Amino acid sequence: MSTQNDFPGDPVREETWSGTPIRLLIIDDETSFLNAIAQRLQMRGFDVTTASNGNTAIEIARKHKFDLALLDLKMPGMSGKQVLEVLKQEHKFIEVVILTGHGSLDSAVECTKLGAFGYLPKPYELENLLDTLKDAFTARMRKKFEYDHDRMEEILSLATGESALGILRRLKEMDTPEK
Amino acid sequence: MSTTSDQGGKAHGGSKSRASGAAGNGLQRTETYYRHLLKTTLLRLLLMYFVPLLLLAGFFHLQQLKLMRESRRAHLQSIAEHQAYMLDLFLRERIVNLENVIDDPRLPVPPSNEVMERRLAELRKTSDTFVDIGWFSTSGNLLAYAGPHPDLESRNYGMEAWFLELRGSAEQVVITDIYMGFREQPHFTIAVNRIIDGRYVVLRAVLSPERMREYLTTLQHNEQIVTSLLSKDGSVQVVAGRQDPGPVHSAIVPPRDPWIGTGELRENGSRTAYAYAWLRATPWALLVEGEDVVVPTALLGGAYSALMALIGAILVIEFLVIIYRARVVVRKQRRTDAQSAELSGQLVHAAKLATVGELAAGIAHEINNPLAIIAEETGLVRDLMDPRFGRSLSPAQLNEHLDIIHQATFRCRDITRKLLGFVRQESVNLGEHDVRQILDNVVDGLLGREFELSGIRVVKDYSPHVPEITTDRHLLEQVFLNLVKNAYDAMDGTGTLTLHVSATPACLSISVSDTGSGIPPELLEKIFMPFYTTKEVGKGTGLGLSVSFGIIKSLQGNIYVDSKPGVGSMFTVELPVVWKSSARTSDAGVWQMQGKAVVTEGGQS
Repeated sequence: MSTQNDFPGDPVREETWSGTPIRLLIIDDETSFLNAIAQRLQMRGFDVTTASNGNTAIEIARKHKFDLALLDLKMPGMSGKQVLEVLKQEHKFIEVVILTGHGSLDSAVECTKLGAFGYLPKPYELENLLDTLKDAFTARMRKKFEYDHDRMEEILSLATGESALGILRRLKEMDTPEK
Repeated sequence: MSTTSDQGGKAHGGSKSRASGAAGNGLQRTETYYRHLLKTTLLRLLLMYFVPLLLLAGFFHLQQLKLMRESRRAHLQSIAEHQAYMLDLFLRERIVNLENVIDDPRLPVPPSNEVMERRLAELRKTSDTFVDIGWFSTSGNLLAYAGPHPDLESRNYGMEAWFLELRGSAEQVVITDIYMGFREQPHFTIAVNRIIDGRYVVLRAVLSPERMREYLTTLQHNEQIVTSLLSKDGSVQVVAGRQDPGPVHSAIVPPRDPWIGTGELRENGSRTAYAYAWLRATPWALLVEGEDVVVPTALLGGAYSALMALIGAILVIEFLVIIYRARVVVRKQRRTDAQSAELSGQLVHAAKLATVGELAAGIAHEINNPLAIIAEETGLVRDLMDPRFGRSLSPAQLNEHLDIIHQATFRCRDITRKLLGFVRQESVNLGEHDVRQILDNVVDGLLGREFELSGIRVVKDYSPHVPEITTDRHLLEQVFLNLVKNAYDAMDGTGTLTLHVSATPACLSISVSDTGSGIPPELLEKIFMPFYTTKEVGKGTGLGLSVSFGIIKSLQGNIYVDSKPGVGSMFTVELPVVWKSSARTSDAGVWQMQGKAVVTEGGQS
């Protein structure tokens, strides 16, 4: 890999982060943009699905699981913000990155409040996008892990009536030879 | 009317408002206007300068005339007084002459004709007015006579008026009026009486009035006056200074009291001044008549004409100065008009730029989308050629991507062109245009993407029969953009924008209605004012509607607003189908704009 560093937009194989490719939903009304970015991200190991409007995106998201979503703001029909709200509401762990040509501080703040992870004005450097996606995925994984951890602890405590820490202590006690 | 308009009508029934142009003069000042201005200015200046001058001149003229009249009368009076005095003196002298004769103790009583002849000769030496003398007895018989009418002898004068008067008089002297008597010649008589040796005797002299006339004439100075001697009943005795003998009875009968006075006689529009003086010796009045006013001879000569020439020259110079001033005023007006036309042109352009500024957020950002496409496509092509990805790129595939990039580039160009085309400052440029096309250009072109992305439904209710009209495409586009943009802003993302175009034989009506927040009635009258805005600071300049108003006026149209808070607003633009070419708006882009609109509330649309 080091031999090919002279290539701009250093390709990153998603296998290096996790075993399975990142599932990514891209929503934009510009089809040529949609096709190009989908292809490029696929080449970089993403599992890409595209939707050209908000309604389709929500439908698809209900059927398939996605780790991340790339979302345009200005679209005919449902606006990006509405889609963002629905996605965040219906999917616990999905992280949404906004991609918009009509970038402004106001709309960035608003989207962040609505739960967007990142906000990139168009046109952007692919590297920035990849970094943002990476961060978003990390955040998503952490969230998922924390959630799983909490769940596990909950299940364990339900099973044993004790907290996970208590169980660990008991396990340690069990390992320790009796005096 | 279509359903849309009905709905509009219902929606906007709340308060109607009409923008009526102050003076409605949105048009360029024509040559005729300046000619008219020159004429009125000239007239006003002339009135302003000449009227007071003439009034003053008239006043002084009248004053001077009055003074001259007064002095003329005083002059006539002094003549009358003087002549009366001289005549008095003359008559007294004659009386004294006669008294000297009758009182002469050497005179035989009654005298003989020879004695009388001698006496007459002596009297004539004193005054040649004596014609004859006679000596009368108590009963009036002529006892002695000397003179040219010896045939009068032996007549009895006992019943003659003068004889009876003398007898009844205490004065011992009587002077008769001039009469014809027995001799067929005008004459008058002076008679004196005495009691000599217990006998009543009378000495009478007949005097020729001809002599008196000559006497009066010699007393006259070189003046155009008529002097006449009147008896107490007003009959003319002697006239001097007149060719014709004139009336027997004078038109002027002077009063006895005061014994001296002046007056004026108006006859057939001419005025005659007169003065009179009564004699003391006998009730005769001396009347002097003359012209009302005599211009002093000094002024009649060169001095007077020089004065007149001077006044004329002053008037001419003043007239020229006034013409010059009027021209200067008109020239200044022209310059001001040109400047204000230029300024309003600049204002329109400023408003345009401001609108662009407001639009920029929406439209210029739109460039980012095709730019993103270009970035992605170039990146993709690069990726496809990157050996690490192990892909391949056929020339046909490359062509596809290049096509997409090409299209995106031209999308960018279209966006910049849209903006720049709108911003470009152009002079008024009339052409035949379909207003529907211009409206489409705004709604689908400039603001097309905005509407596409928003939840606003655009309803086009265009009549199929709309004639092309002569108008300026860019100016009209600016107005429509303002109206549609306002409607868009008023609706806040959802609602219906209705565009209605219809035509009557006389005018086109274009209305833009929204289902937005509407305008409160108290603000309706402000919306056409320059710099009035309800938008946040930095979002609107408040120029849009005021400039739109100016533009529509300059395009010979009208703009109305009709709004109900909470229901929506409707702006209606009316444009004439036939352009009135008398206002040569196309010339050099000179056009006048009334920046201030008067909006009156009430249903008078």
